[in-house]
Amino acid sequence: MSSHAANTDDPHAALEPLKKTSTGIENKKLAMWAFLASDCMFFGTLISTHLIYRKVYPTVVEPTEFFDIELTGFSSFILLMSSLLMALSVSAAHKGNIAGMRRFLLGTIFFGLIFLSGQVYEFNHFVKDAGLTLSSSVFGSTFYVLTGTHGVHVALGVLWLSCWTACSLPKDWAWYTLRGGRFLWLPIRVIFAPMVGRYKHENALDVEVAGLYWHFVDIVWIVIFTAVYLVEYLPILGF
Amino acid sequence: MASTVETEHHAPAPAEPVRDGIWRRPLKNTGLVGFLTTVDHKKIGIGYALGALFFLLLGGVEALIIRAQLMYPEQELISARTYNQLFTMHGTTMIFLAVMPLSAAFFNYIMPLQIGARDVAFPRMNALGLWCFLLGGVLLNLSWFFPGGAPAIGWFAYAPLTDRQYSPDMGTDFWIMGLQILGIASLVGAFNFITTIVNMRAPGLSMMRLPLFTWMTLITSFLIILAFPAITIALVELMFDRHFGTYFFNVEGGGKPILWQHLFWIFGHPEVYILILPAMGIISEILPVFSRKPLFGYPLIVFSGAVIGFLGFAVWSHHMFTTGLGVVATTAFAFLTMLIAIPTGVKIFNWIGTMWGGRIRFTTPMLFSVGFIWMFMMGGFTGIMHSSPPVDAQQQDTYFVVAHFHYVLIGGSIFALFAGMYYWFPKVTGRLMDDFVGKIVFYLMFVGFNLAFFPMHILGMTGMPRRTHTYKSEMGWDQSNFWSTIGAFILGVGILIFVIQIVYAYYKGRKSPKDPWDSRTLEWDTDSPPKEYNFAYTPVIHARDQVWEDKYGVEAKRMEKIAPGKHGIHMPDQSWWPLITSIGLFIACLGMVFHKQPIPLTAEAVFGLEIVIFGLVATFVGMVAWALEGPGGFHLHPDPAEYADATPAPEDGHGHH
Amino acid sequence: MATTRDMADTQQKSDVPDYIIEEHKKYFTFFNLSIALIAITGIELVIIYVPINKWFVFSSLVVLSTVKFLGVIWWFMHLRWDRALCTIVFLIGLILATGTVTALMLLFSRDPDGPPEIMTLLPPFLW
Repeated sequence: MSSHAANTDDPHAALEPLKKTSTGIENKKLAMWAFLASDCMFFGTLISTHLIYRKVYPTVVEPTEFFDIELTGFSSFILLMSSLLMALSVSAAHKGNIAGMRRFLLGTIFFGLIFLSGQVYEFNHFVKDAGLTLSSSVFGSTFYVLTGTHGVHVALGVLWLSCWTACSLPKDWAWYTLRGGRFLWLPIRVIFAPMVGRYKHENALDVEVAGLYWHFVDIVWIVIFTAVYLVEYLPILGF
Repeated sequence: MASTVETEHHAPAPAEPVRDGIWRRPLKNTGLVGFLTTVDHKKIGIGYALGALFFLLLGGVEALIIRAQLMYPEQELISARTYNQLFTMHGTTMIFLAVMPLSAAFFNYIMPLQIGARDVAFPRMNALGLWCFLLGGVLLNLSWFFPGGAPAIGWFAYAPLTDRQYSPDMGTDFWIMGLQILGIASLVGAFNFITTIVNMRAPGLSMMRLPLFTWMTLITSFLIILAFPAITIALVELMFDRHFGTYFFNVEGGGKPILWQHLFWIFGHPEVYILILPAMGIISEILPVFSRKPLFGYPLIVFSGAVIGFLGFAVWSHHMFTTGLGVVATTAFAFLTMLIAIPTGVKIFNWIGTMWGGRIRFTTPMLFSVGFIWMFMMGGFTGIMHSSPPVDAQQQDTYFVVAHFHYVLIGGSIFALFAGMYYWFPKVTGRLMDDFVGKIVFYLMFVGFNLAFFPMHILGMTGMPRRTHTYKSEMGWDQSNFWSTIGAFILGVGILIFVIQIVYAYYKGRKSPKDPWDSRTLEWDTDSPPKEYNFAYTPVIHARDQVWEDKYGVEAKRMEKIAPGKHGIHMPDQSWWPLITSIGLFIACLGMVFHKQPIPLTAEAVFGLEIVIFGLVATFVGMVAWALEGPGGFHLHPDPAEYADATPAPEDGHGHH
Repeated sequence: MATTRDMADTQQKSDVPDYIIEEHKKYFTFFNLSIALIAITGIELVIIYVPINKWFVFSSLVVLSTVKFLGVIWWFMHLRWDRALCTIVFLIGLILATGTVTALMLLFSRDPDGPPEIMTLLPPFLW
C-alpha cells in the first residue's frame, strides 16, 4: 500500500495514506510501540538479574573502585544529545527537508559511535586494570551481559540509521558510494550502494520508527545509568 | 480463476524498469516456489497447521513410548536416560511445536477473515514466523542425531542440571537455541497480529463487535510479546553460562539456580495462558453456532480473557511454592492464583449460559467443545487445589500434577483445537469432514484421554513421582499405570483416525457450501476455500454476529458491501527473503550449538564463532535485501459477479486494503 | 488531527503550511528538553557526592531519572502528539516490567555466606 503514496512531492500528503487504518495510527508505528513494550520486559529481566545479584552479594566487588563516573556521565550526555539530534531529524523528515534530515542522522550516528567507543574503552579498562571479566565474579557476568546487550542495541540502531542515511543520499551518489575510495570496507560499500537515492517522503515514517527505537535505547540507558552506576555510590543500600 | 491479474512488474513499457531486489521477485504462486515464497496468510496458516500436526504426532509417539515403559513395574524397555530425553522432548514438542503453532495456524488463517482484512499487516514478517517455527522444530529435533542425543533436562530445564558440568552434551544447547528461534517465530507473529487486529478491521467493526476468537488472538499476542522476553533473556544467560563461563545459574561462582526458576516461570505461567486462551476463543465461536444463540455475556467473556491474561503475569511463583519463598510471598502468590479462578469461572458460566435453552446440534465440533468445558473444568479444579500451598506441597512433582496439566492441555487446548479443525476444515479446504467418523474420533479420544489421565490423580495422591523411569511393584501402582497406558494408546488411535480422516476428506470429502454450519461470523461470508484476496468487496459491518444478521436479522443490521475501485484489489508480492533470513538465523543458532563442541564432521578441529558470524551476516543481508525489495504489490480484478450486490467504491481510493 | 489537507492547501499560497509551523515549534521544545535532560544528569552526578542523607539522595535519583525517562518518551518519542493508544500499549509493557522487577527484587535477600571462592580464574571471554 505504501508504494502508492510516492507520487507526491508534498511531504505531508505523502504520509496521509499510511494513516488510513482503523485507529489512525500507522501500522509500522503501532508495531514498533508493541515491540518497545516487549523490550521493556526484555531489559527488565536483564536489569533485575543484575540488581538481584547486587542484593544477594553486596560485597563481592566494590564497583566504585573501578567505575569512572565522569566517563559514564559523559556517555549519558552523548546519548541524550544523540536523542535530540534524532528527534530533529524526524522533524526535518516531516518537513520534507531531506538534506537536513541526513545531517541530523549523521550527527546521531556519530554520537552513537562515540557512545560505543566509550563502552569499548570502559570494558577494556575494567578487564585490564580491574580484572573484571565475565568469569571473575557474578558481578562481572551480570554487568557485562547487561551493558553489552545495551551496547548491541546501540550498534543495531547505528546500523539502522546508517541505512536510512544512505537511502537519503542523492541518487547520483550511488556510484561514488560504491567506489568510495579505500576508507570503507568493500562489503559495506556493496551493502549500502543499492540504498542510495531511495528515500521518498513517505519514508519519513520509517525514519520516525527507527527514531522510536533509538530513543528507547536512550531511556534504557537512563535507567541503567541510575540503577547500575549512580546507586553504587550510595553505601546505604548495602551495595 | 475467474479473476484477471495485472502486475505492476508487467505494466506495459515502464519509463524506468523497476528493479528493487537482487533478483526478480517470484511471481508464481503455485507449486514449491509458490509455497516457499508465499506471503498469503492462508497458505502460511496451512503451513503452520501441517507442521504442528506433524510435531503433534512426533510428540505423541514420544508419549506412547513413555507410557509403554511405564505399563509394567520395573521394565527396562528404554534406559533411564532415554526416558529423560523422551519426557523432555515430549513436553517441549507439545508446547512449542504442537499446541502453540496449531493456535498460530488459526490466528493466521481465520483471524484476518474474521475482521474482513485482505491479509495481515506485515505479510512478509508472517512468512518469517512460519519458517522460524519450522526451522526451530528442526533444530530442536536435530539433537537426536548428535553425540549425547536429545536434551534430558525436562521442559523447564531447571538449573543447575543445565550447567555444562551436569549436562555436557550438545542436547541442552540444541534446546536453548531451538527455543530461541521458536521465540522469534512467536514474537514476529504476535507483533503482526496485534497490528492487524487493532488497525485493519473492516469499516464498522468496532472492538466490541470483534468475534471472540479474534479477541483471544489479540490477548494471546500481548501475552506472547510480554512473556517471551523473559525466556529469551533466561536462555541468553544460560547460553553464556554454558559457553562463556559466566555464573548466572552456576553455583560454583555464586549463581543462584532459583533465579532460573523465577525467570522461567515469569515466562512459563503466561505461556500456559498462551496455550489456553486461543482454545477458549475457538470454543466461544463454536458454542453459539451449534446452540443457535448469541454468545451469552460477550463483554464479560472478553473482559475475563483480559483479566486472565493480566493476572497471568502475577502468579508465576505458584510453580515454586515448595522452594521456600517466605510466608509473605507464598501467601500473596496463593491469593493471586486463587483470584484467577474467578474470571475462568465467569467464562465457564457464560458458555453454559450460551447453551442454556438453545437448540443444540451435537455435531463433532460441538462434542469437542462440550468435552472441552467438562475436561477443562476438571483440570481447573485440580488447579485450584494446587493454589493452596500446603496442598501443593503434597502434590509437587507427583503424577497429580501430570494429571492436572494434561487435563487442561489435552482436555482443554487439544480438544478445542480439534473442535476448531472440524469446524473450520470446510472453510479451509471447501470439503466436509464426515460427522460420523468425527464422532468416533471424539469418543475414542474422550475415553482414551480419561482412561489415560484420570488414574494419574490417584497415582499422584499415593506418591508416584514424576520423571522417574520405572517403579517397584510393591508400591501398588501397577493397575493404574497399566490402564493409563491402555488409555494413552486409545487416545493415540483416535488421533491416528483423525489424521487419516483429514487426509481422506481433503481429497474425497463432499463439497462444502460457503456456510455449512449456519454460522455467525464474517469468515463464513466468503468462499470455501477463500480466494487469494479473501473478499471481493469491502464488508461494512453493522452487527456483532454479522453473517447471522444477514441471514435472519433486521434490514438495518445487514452488511453493506463496497465494490473494489477501478484499480482492483491491492495484493502484496511474494518474496524469498523471509525464508533466507530465517535460514540465516538457523545457521547462527546451529553455529552456537557447535561452538567449542566436538562434532562428528570435524574430528579434531572445533568451531569457534565462525558459523555464528556467518549466520548473522546472512541474516543481516537477508534483512537489507528484504527492505530494499519493499512490500511491492499488484492489483487483482475479481469477477464482477462476486460483488454484484455491492455499492461502487468512492472515487479516491482503491477501496479497503 | 490539527491540519487537514484542505487547510494546508488554502494556506499554501500566502503562508507556510501548518505542519511546517508545528515542526518549527517542536524544534524549540526539543531543544529546551535536551537542556533540561543534561541539567538533570549533571545534578545526578553531583548529588551522589553531597554529604546529606543517602536515602534522600536515593529518592532524588529515582525521581530525577523518572523525569528524564518521561521527558524522552513524552516529547522525543512523540507520545504527546500521537494517539493515546501508543501510550497505552507502551505503558502495558512498562508497568508489567516495573512490577516484575520490583517483585523479583523483593523475592531475593542477601546471602549471609557471601559468594564462594572462585577456584580457577579463566582468561576473559574464553571458556
